[in-house]
This record gives sequence, structure tokens and C-alpha cells, in this order.
Amino acid sequence: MPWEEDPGDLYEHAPCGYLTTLPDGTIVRVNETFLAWTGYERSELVGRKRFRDLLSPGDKIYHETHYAPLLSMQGDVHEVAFDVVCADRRRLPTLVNSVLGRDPAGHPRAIRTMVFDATERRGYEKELLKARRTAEASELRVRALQQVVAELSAAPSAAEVAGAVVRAPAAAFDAAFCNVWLVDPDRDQLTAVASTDPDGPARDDIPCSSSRPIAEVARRGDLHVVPTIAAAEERFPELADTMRRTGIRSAVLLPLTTGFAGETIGAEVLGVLSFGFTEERELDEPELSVVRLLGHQAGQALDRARLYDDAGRREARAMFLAETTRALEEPYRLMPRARNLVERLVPAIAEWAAVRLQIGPAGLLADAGGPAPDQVRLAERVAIVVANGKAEFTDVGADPDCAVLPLTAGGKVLGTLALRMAPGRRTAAAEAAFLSDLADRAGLALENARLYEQERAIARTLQRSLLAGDLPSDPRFAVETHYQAAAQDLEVGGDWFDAFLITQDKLAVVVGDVVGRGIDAATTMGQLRSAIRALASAEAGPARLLERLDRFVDRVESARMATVAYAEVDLTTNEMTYACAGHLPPLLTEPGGSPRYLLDARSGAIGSRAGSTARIEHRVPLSPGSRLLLYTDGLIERRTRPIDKGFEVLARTYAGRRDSPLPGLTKGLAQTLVGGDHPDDVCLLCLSLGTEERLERSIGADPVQIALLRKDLRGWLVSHDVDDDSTQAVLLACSEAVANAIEHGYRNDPFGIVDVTATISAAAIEVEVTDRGNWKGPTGEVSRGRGLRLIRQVMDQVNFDRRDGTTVTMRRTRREAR
Amino acid sequence: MIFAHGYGCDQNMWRYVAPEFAGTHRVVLFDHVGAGKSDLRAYEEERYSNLEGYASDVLEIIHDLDLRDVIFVGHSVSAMIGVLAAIREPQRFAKLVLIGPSPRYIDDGDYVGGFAKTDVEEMLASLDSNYLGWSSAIAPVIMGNPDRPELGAELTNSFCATDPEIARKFAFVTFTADNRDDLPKLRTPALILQCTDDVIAPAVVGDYVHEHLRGSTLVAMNATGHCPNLSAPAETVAAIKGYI
Repeated sequence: MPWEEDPGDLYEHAPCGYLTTLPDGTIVRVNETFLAWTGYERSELVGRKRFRDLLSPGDKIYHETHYAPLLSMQGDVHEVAFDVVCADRRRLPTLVNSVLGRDPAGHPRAIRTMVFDATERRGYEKELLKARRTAEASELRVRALQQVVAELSAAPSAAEVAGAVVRAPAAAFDAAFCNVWLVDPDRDQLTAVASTDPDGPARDDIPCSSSRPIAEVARRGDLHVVPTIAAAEERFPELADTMRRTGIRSAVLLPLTTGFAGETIGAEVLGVLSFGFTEERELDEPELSVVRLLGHQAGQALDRARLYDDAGRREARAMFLAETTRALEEPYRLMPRARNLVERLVPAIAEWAAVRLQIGPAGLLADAGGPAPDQVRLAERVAIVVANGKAEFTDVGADPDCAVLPLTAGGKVLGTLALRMAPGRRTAAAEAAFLSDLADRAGLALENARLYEQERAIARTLQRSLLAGDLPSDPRFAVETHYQAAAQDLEVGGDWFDAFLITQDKLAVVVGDVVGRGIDAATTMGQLRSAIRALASAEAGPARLLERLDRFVDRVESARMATVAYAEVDLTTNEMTYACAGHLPPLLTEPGGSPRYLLDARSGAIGSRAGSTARIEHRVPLSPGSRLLLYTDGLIERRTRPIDKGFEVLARTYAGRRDSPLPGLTKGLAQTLVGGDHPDDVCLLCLSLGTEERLERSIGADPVQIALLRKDLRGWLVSHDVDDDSTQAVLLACSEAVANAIEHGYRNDPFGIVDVTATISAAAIEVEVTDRGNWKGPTGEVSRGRGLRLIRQVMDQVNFDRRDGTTVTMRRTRREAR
Repeated sequence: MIFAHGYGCDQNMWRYVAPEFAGTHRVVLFDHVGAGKSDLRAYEEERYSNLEGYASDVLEIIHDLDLRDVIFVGHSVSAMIGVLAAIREPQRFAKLVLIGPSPRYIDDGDYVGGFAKTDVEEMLASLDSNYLGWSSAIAPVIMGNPDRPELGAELTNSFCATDPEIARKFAFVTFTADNRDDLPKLRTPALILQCTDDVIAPAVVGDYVHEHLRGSTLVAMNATGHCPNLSAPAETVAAIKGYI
């Protein structure tokens, strides 16, 4: 039959290659077809080569790692693609099927392998593979773009948008050297904000009108692809230089626009993305569309970020205005307010700011930051702004970012605010609305401060004039007063003092405090002060006077609830009558005694309708040398401590100054008790009544007592106007004599008493120290001798009387009599 | 005893060897991620971007099963994976059996690995051709009979089923690895089984490994090719038993 085949011929010339190999791959039989396809001689293969030896090196690996194990495990392998290397090194794409034959014991015997020519199929597969690889690359780009879009949608600021965009070309196209430039509309320039360059973005800004490629792309708004340096040479010679310097062979300049992809009309260019490739590269259309899409997405994100920025800036501005308005209320006075303003502006808003106020012949100036602009030019501009009342936001050419704004209140130009915006901020012109608002608020705050200062000055003047009246003086008494205004910028208080002679022999002293502050308080204080002078009479006395004051405030409402400490002193009898209407108790010191508060004769504040309206008074006999202190609450009241503590501190301080001369005493007390920083006015009056003609003290035989005696003695000497040298001499001599009496007379027996008597005349001071002790012992003589020598050195005359104890009489001639 | 399969296959390749040790040892077989019946979701590109990631997997198996005195039998690339694991936690390992090990497949200066860089690239292309053929052949069958998943198991060339994408990356990691510097760090005794005519790991590479692994034993086998565990299981089993 014609279709009957010779099996041998079928084997040799079958339409496929046929190989028989040993289990280790050694070829033992091969057909003609395979030899014809590959060009090998049978003798080259049989017994000499393994099948894998005919494969390409890559396929050899595949053969060993996949084909051989599979064949061993499965017994057959189907349709494995191998490239057979032919005799002429040409590669023949094939598909291979193999079957492993085993002997009856199951041991591998031989492998039969069929080889099909798969040239066409493999070509087709390669096409498929290429298509898949292309699809994968495209997917990679799309994924990179999606990643960027996701990042863009999460980027709230232009800087973050730029940061996301600048990474995209490397991810999508393996690009190198990406830079993002953003348009700064205020300054009409392009600023590099992000770069993949490890050194960061370029630092030179490009004016929008520049001929540089970035500016040109921003103006034209369309995508520029520069495939070669030669192409760059033609269109952007400068870009060609940059490409050569950085090793870039192809470059892309992409505008970031708000319009839809590819649409340039009506689209606003917000920035430019530039990137390059280190090899020459043409971008195909799908790639270009991805690039355009990137530019469009970035543009929209920038647009959104710009709106965010704008909203954020508005919010920050509103907060700054609110905070500044609040902060400007803090200092009451004009210059502190002006300083506060410029210090808030620099560096938050401006790098330099100055407030000039048209007050006084020279004007007032507060400035902060720097550098200051040219002074002559600034003075010219200030003059123009003051004259026109209109702000100048720029000075074209000279100092474009320096603005001068008028500070107005009630239509009047109070002064100017000049400033230069901080670098990197929007220009003053761009911030015109904000700056005008700021200047308006500042004008008002400064005008209020000016009015306040004016009123405060008037009130102080009024207060000073009211308190300035001459206080009486007399050999029988002395009055010392002190008024200390509050250190902080508060209005004047309503504290006052007064001392006047009701009759020739009757002295009145007053300290009072009116409720409230400012001009009203000062005026009321004046009225009350005058009323007391008018109402005081020889017959009335303090209680009656207060009752009359109660009636007086029915007519002068602002004086209601004023407090008054009032005392009358009969200078013939040294008897004092006092009354306190809601006021702090007077503090009295008598010679040789401790200070004590006068707590009787207390009643409510003037005009208070609470309780009984009957006023009471109290009498106290005073000895010569007594001192009476009247004061207002500012002296002892502190928020940080209870009032009791204040009383205690005052009494202690007052006692410590018992030997201080009267002049300066009240001031010294105020300084010690309230210091320089106090929130309230302080008013003090100290009355010193007569002087002790004789100082007489009896002290226990205790060395501690010597210090107290010295204080009393010094105070007595000072009150008699004894010169310093004599005072020192008498104090030394007296101390030594008393010490000797304690040490040698009583030998420190604490029950011993030492009497000291001091008298004074116009010519001399005489001191007598007496003890009733028993002087003896040889050791005592030595020390005693030293003390005596000191006494003799400083005193002019010293006598000893040794009956019934010892009396030392010492005399010192006063300087005036020497 | 842990048996670790090499690149291109799965634990099936131990089918003639592992049962021989089941009577005397606790035998642990596993598939590397991407191979056999492993959970493909566990694949993380970052973790498996070098052999250390695979070595970490071996150590995790040891920890989870709390294995001690481990005899680790690694074929091909798993030989180096075992070396890396034993360097990191030597206290867990008693002995290593390295079948066809290679610390570096690509020639480098005087070092002979057996392959040029272009060979490896070509091998990756070869993978692409074959997977393309497979996926087009397998996919319709599986998709046409979703109610008969066992069909998948009966498909041609289904032994050593591996995920093509992962296999491609594993191939890249395997054939571009260079672990020559790790060899002197190994303190665990090791047996090197070197086949005759192994194109993947030629005898010169086996000698290199032997020279750089202190206290290692080299056994030259009569078996040819790269997979003596399949082509000469008896000789392989005897060599391992002789050593351990």
C-alpha cells in the first residue's frame, strides 16, 4: 500500500528530531531530521555528547534544575522549550518531549526525546512576551503615577506637592536629576523648591521674564522634550551646557498646570518639573501621555495647596491680629505699647519694623530687627505718608519690600509704622489688607495709650498739687511724710496725708484713702482733705469730725467709703485723741517702749451705712519723744501674705528704726516694706512729738540689753541734733561703762540693774551710769582699765563715784561749743 | 533531619531519599515559599531579596518545632541556605549535608563558578519561555473544570509546581548570590556530596567549598548531573548514612 512506510525511514526522516540517550544524557541514537536541522555529524554526537551539551548555557541550567528532576520523578516531560545550539552556533528554538524508559527492575534504562522545530511558535511567543513586558512596564509607570497621585492628594502644602512630584520621574521612567520650580507670583519669579540632587535645589531664582529654559517653558505652558544635547543646542544653548555638565543626554521640561492634560489655553502654569536621562532617550506616545498627566495632576495639587496655603495664611493672620490686639492692651503706656508692637512684628512678620509717633518736638521711635533702611529716604517717605494718611507698600527700586503705613485714630495721623517683610514671605503689597488692618488696630491702641498717659499725667499733677501744701512746723513737734506712687502703670490712687494746726496748741494729723483711681479719685481726695480742714475745730474732736464727714459724703458721693485715720494732739498737755474710720490702726512708739498699734476708737468707713452711725474716739497721753505713724494699706498689704504678717513686719521694721532721725524715716520705711516694685500707692505720715529732755533707762545686767540701749540713746541724741562725732563718742563711752558695770559690778548676775541717765544742754551731753554691784578681783582691773582708757579718750570729762556701787559720770562738749 | 529542596523543584525531590531516614530520625520536609504547596501570600519581595531571608525561614521552622541536633540536608542553593542558618544559630545544628553546593555561580576573576553573567540572563529568558508555554497550557484546563481541582495535580510537568513570578525572582537571587565570604564562618561539620559532570556545581566549585569550610568532608559521587537524590538515590543515601 502506498501509505505503508518503512519504519527505518520513518525514524530517520520523521518530521521531528528523535534522540535516544542514556539516563545520564549521553546520546546513543539520533535521527537524520535532527542532524539536518542542527548540522551535526552523527559521529560528533553519538557516544560523545550529552543532550544538555547541545543546549545554550541558560537552558543548561533549566535542564538541570527542572527538566532532569521532572523526568526522573514523572517519567516523562512535555513541551519544554529549549534552544539547541547548532553546529554553526546558530540557535534552533525547539519544543522537547521526553520519556524515561525503565528496565523490568524499575531502573532507568534510556530516555527517548522528540524535538520539534518551534521557530515560528517561539517567535510568536517572544512577541507575546515582549507585549507582556511592555504591558508590565506601562503598568509600572501607571503604578508610579498612581503612587504620586495618592501622595499629591495627601500633600497639604506646595512644598510637599513638590516633594512628591520630584520623585515621580525616577520611579516611572528611571529618570535622573529631577527638579521642581514653583512660580512665585508676588515676586514674579521661579524658585527651585525640590530636587533629587543630594545638594538640594538650586539657590538662584529665575525671573519669569528670563530667557532661561525653565522660564520659557513656564511662559509657554507646553511640554518640551529635548532628546539630545544637539537638540538642546538648537533651542536652549544654556540647557545644553547644563546637560553636558551633569552627564544628561536627554531632558524633559514639563509645566505643572491647572488645565486639563494637553490643554494650554486658560491654564495657569504653577511650576515646572525638569528631569533628564543619562542615555539618549525618545519617549513614546504612551510615555508622553503619562508625563503630561503627571504635569496636570501636580498642577491641580499645587492649585489646591495654594488654596490651603491661602486659607492657612488668612487664619494665621487673623490669629496674629487678635493676639496683637490683646497683647497691645497689656502695657498701658505709650512707649511700651509701641515697643510691644514692633517686637511682635519682628521676626514673625517682618525682618525690621519701626513705629514713629508724632509726639513731642523730636517724635518718639521704637524699632526692632534690621537692617534698617536708608534713613534719609525713609524720612522722606514717612513725611509723605503722614501728610497723605495713605500707606505706601513698596518703594520701587530702592527697597521694594519696605512699606510705610500711617497709624491713625479718629482721622488723625498719630505716626507711622514702617517695616520690611521677612525674607521668604509674601511681599508687603501682597499683604496690603492684612498690614492695613494691623496698622488700624495699632493706631487705636497707641492713641488709647497716649490718652491714658495724658490723663495719668494730669492726675499726678493734680495729686501733687493737692498734697504739696506746707505742713506746719514747731519746736514742739515735727511731721515727716512720704508719698510713693505705684510702680506699675496704674492710674494715681486716692491716698492722702495732711497735718495742720487747728488752734495754736492743737495739731491735727490725717492719713486717708479714697476709693477708686485716676483723676476722679484725685479730685475727691482734694475735696475730702479740704473738708477735714474746714470741719476740724477746737471743740469738736475726732468723733464729731468723722460724723460731719459722714454727712459731707451725702453730698459728695465719690467720697463714700473713704477711710480716714485722724488724730488731734494737745501740744500743751501732750494728750492725743484719735479715731479711725475704716482705716488701718496708727502705730505708736514711746521712748524706751516697743511699737504698739492703737486699736481703740475704730468705726466704719466714711459714709458707710452699715451699723451704728455714732463715731467714737480715744485718748492717749503721750510722752515727749513719742512717734506716731499713720499709713495707708499699700504699705503692708500683700497678696502673698496675710494682713497679720504685714502688721508684724511693719512693727518690727519700725522698731528697728527707732534711733533713725525723723527726716527720711517714712521714705526709708516705704522702701524697706514695699521696695521698688509695688502695685499700689503708699502714703505715710510720721509725727514726732517733742523730745525727751532727759533720757532715763534702767536695764538688766545682760550684754544683750546694751544694743537696745544704744538704739534708744542714738535716737535721743539724733533728735537733739547732736553732731555725729559727739554721738559716736557718747555711744561708745556709754556702752563701755555699762559693759563694765555688767561684767565687773555684777559679774553677769542677770538680776543686777544698771541705771543710765543722759541729759543735754546747748554746750554738752552728760551721761551717768550707775550700778549697785561689788567691784573686785585683780583680773577685772586690766579689762576695766582698757574700757576706761577708751572712755577717757572720747569723753572730755569722766568721774567715778564708789559709794554703794559705782557711778560713772561722763561729759562731752558738743561741737558747736568746742 | 531537615531536607531542603533546591531551586526549580519542591520537597518531592526527596521522595527516594527521605523515607530511608524516617526510622532513625525525625524527618522534616518543607517547601520554600513560592514552591510546592507553600502559602504564596507569605512571599515578601524585600525579605526574599537575598538568601538570608530563606535561611530565616529554616530557623523559624527549627524554632517552631523546637528542633535540636539538626542534621540539615540541603540540595543545590539550599546547601548555602543551610550554611547561612548554621552560622547564625550554630547551637541548633549537629551536621550539614551539602549536595551540589556553590557559593557563587558566576565566574569572578580567578574564581570559577561555571557561568558567565550573560548565561544567567539567558536562563531567566528560558524561564520566561517555558512558563509562557505552561501557563497557556494549564490555565484553560483548570479554568474549564473548576469543580475538579485534582485535574491540576494530573497536569503535565506538575511536579515541582512553582509560582512563575516567585520562581523567577528566586532564580535571580540564587544565581547572582555570592556567599564565598560566609564559608569560613561556619563551625558546624559538613559533608559535601559532589557529583560527576554537574554543570550547575562543577567539581572545581565543590573543591572550593571543601577548601573553605573548615572540617568539611568531600565525597565525590559516581552519580552524574545535579540531582543525585533523584538519579542515584541509593548512592546518596549511603553517602549520608556513612557520614552521620
